[in-house]
Amino acid sequence: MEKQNVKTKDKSPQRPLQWVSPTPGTYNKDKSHRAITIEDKTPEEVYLFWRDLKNLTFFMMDVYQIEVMSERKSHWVIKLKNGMKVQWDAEITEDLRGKMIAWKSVPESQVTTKGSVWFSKGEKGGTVVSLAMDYTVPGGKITELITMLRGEDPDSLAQTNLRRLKAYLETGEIPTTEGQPSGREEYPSITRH
Amino acid sequence: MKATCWQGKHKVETKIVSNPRILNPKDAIIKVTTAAICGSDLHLYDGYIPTMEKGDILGHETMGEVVEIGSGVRKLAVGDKIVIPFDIGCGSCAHKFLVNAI
Repeated sequence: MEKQNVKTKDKSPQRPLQWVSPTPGTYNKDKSHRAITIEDKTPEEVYLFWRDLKNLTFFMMDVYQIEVMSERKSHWVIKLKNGMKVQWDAEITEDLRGKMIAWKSVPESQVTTKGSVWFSKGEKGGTVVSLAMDYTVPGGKITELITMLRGEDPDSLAQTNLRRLKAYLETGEIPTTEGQPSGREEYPSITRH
Repeated sequence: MKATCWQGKHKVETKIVSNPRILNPKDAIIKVTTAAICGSDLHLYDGYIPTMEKGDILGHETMGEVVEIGSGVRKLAVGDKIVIPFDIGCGSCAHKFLVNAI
């Protein structure tokens, strides 16, 4: 009996190692994308929230200001942790209502960035949001390595932003420990272990 | 208040830190009477969690008494004796069916 089981197991097809689209129908050419499911929201609703670009400041990391200049053009200001501000103009290159939005920075920007976000129905309801972001910052390979170690590379940032979007749309807030007491500031120590 | 603060790998100190305040209507302030050390505290202690910063307060399996509640708290009252599970439910997401203590 046991032997048979082992044989059946051997015959079962191996799970392919290739990258698989998170849900059927989700289109994304860029392999370095992240996806998350948002409960109780339709693709249309999430699309409309995202399309009003000012809303992105509510959940996107380090985004200080987004100024909508026209139907397709916007001005982005990012405030980095060291207080430095980086800004650029972005343009929506593709816009399919309820389905996807793609954008890129205009030529000769300080930061070259592009990305796309796809909205599709989840298998058990809700919306699968699939986000691909890419950017190059001045500084080359070394800056690239530093941003990766700090979790600010495009892939990590896409994942963080999606988690924050989910929290924001499902609960109306993003969990934070900001303002809570901690011993990060210098306080006198009572005991040591 | 006193707090057990992580100072780095294998280094923990008890420090005086500022008292907690209600920052969110759903907050409650607990006077901790007892805290267990969890197996996952060892990951922090051993320095495996890269997001830990020097001074971060340890302890996530605590018991105590509610001393102050925010305006959005429905199910707790000052004076309640409570136990905090490691998974904290916000009461809004899908986990509200599992944890609905707020």
